[in-house]
Amino acid sequence: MRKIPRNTIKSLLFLSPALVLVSVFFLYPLIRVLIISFQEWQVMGGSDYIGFKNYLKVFQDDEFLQTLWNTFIYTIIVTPMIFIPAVLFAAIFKETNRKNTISRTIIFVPVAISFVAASYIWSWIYNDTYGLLNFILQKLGMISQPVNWLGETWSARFSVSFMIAWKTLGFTMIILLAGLQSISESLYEAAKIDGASKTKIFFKITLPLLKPTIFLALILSLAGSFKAFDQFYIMTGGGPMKTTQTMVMYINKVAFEYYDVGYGATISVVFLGILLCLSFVQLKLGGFSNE
Amino acid sequence: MKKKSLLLLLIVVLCSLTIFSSDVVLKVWGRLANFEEIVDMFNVKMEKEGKSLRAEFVQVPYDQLVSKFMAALGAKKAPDVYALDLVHFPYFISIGAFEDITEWATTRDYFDELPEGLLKLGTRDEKVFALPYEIDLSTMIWNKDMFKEAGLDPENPPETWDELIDASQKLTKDFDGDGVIDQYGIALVGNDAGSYMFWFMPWVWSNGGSMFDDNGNVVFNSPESKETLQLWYDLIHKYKVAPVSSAQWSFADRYNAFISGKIAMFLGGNFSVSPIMNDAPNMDFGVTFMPRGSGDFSTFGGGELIGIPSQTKHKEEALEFLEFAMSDAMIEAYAPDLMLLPRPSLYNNEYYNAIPQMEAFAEILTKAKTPYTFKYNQIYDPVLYYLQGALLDKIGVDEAIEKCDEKIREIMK
Repeated sequence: MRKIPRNTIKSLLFLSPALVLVSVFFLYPLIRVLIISFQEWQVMGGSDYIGFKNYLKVFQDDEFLQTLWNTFIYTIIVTPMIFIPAVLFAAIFKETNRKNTISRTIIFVPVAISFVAASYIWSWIYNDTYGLLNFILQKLGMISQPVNWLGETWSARFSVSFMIAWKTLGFTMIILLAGLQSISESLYEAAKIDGASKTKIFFKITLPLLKPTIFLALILSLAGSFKAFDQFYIMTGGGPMKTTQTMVMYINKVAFEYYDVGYGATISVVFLGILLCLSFVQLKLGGFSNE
Repeated sequence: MKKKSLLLLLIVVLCSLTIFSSDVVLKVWGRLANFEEIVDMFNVKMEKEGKSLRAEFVQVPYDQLVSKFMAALGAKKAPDVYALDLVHFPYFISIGAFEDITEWATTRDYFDELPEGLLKLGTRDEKVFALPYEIDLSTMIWNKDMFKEAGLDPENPPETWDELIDASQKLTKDFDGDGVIDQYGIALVGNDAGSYMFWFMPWVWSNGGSMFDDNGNVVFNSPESKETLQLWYDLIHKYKVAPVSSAQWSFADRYNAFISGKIAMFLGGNFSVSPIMNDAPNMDFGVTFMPRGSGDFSTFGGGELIGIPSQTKHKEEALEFLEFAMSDAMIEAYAPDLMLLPRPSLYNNEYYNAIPQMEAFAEILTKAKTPYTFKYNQIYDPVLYYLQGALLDKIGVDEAIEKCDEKIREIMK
């Protein structure tokens, strides 16, 4: 029997805290949820296994499909709202000087507050009767009647997305900044010497070289968007008529309102499966297999 | 080397002390911050009596009351005492999550004065599993100053639906003539199903309708229910005395609108009195029944029951805590913040007596009703979807009631 090299043992020891954390807080719950998804789970114990019954239920569940749609639509709306400003700000505030540091900090501050706090603040801003936004717009004469920002499906989707973009683009900006700063200055110098305009430099040099970083930021952002819960739970309650109910809200409702934890687990597993497929597609598109 | 082994020894000794210690510390869960005072007072009493029993309070936010409890039950780590929203008790009692406390409860001298409608939710087959602990009643609160300004008698709020329409119309104002209403007569509910159960159903009851009959059958689809929903719809869309968005406002939104003078009448509860006094000290306001339909006044008897989860390993100690929690001690913990005690005989206390608005509650309590169903949580979904949908003009009023009734029947099966 070959002796295990010392280096491997050392590496494992260093990795062990992270491995333990991942196993306890990720792997173990994942396995438990998988098991529960095949059960008609009883609160006080004694759950029965019911095979694939829950899984068949998912594909006949209209509310599941509606909720999946809501979650995807939200993701499609919010992602450009986050990325376009994030990329622009990263490019504008790329140089490390005092002015840029202050600007970057101001943009990043909303990242530090909780989603719950942000949701309550913006619920107040968006309130049609006593909210700040309508007050300002009416004073400026831009609207004649109060707008019910969170009350109609599409305006609610965009309003909540705007809040999330405000809250999270600072984080994306920081990731992109790191990517930008790794692009060699000599490329820009050469381009300037050749007389390229700022716009041309941005689209022909910066963006293409930023692609890997953008894809990394995109994966993180999409994962966050699919898990949207607090903002919709607090700001719209999933309404009007469940059109802003997201997947995590639905899972929460099934498990803790309908007391059907087994089915809730099944929905989680199916959702996870869908997201894994999407991530796989993303990675392929991002050309990561070549890196 | 010596230092390390000494430290190790110390740790082992400390660990073994905690393992072999016989002090019982009860885990007490509740929603209200004031409950912690009861726990503190209990610990002080235990200390005075030289007992090692102690209690530890964990505050559970409203929307985690069920999920946290379910997680604890699943992990067999339920608390020793739980003060939970009363509507959930029929379900949890039916799955055996609470301990039978019949013998102890029925021998308390205050047992007969506990409000029947609330106590019912803590009982099953003549056995008692939980007692009313804190009461929430749905009421209408009106701004007397606005009434005076509108030329209405500030001491006589509307009692019937017709009076409500009339008063609301006089109270809905566009002060600066810019086409935007600056003050609404009333705000309706709401962003969550609980609000519809708490503030909409009593209007149905006061009109002679109901969601369930005494045998638990669904009877929601009735002319009485439809009339009630139609009234609410008309208040928004026909008479335009209530903002349509109030059907989507959270309780905080509606409260804020009342405090900031945007609405003259507000659907609140006893729990609103103290906050209003703090947040709008210059407002002269009154508390009364919500306007009634063709029948008698009605209110939702909400609040909390307190019980001992069956997974407890310290039933006797938990009963000792419960004894204390239900005693006069609750006056000091709850009355200063004007929370309603479950024992009407304690209502004659210095705190309630100092606030004129509290007088109304003794009478309001007599008209309190609480729906009894094992599937209270599950009916939230159709209740919110259809009732809010009708108020937002996404479905017709009659269709909303009919479909809601249908969905509830499906859930009950």
